[in-house]
Amino acid sequence: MTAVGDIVAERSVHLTRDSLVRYAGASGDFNPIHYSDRIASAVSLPGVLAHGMLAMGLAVETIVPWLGDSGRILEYGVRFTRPIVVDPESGAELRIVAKVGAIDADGARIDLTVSHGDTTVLGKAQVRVRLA
Amino acid sequence: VLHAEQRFRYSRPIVAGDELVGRLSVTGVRAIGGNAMVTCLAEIQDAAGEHVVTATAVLLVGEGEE
Repeated sequence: MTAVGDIVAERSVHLTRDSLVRYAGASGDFNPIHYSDRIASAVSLPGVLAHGMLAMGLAVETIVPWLGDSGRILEYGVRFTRPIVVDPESGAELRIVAKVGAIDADGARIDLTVSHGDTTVLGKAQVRVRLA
Repeated sequence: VLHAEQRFRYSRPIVAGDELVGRLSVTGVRAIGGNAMVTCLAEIQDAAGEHVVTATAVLLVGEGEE
């Protein structure tokens, strides 16, 4: 039985500059702040940043093996609260924890915590899922 | 342009073979300092006109950007 507060899934995902280039190609988002240190620093960013939508996708993918079917996802929203700087050498390690936030008649709200080191990078990352 | 928020609300999953039509509208513009907080709504329907997904994005557009 699923109960409020249960951790239903967790994982770590390692991002590298390669990951960002691949995602740029897959998504069509070729904004150079996601691959060029020169452009990133020219617009006063702390470094090359991961695409927010990449982080959003990786975060929700964490619960899909538990759900069994991504078609059970009814609603998913996030706030992009902190930038994810991807170091040219060491990349970035994302930690994702999925916890049951609420349960109702036919589903649940899963709250995702997505952190990079000590920083939480997504705000209010909540997924409404159908369990019945 | 900075992506501030994103939300998807599904009526059903998207499957291979779907023919989808999207209509994008700007539903809100709020000035914050010299920047604009723009809310965009994409309503995506299938070929039968049934709702599939609504995607809402909040974008922060900097001063002087297009």
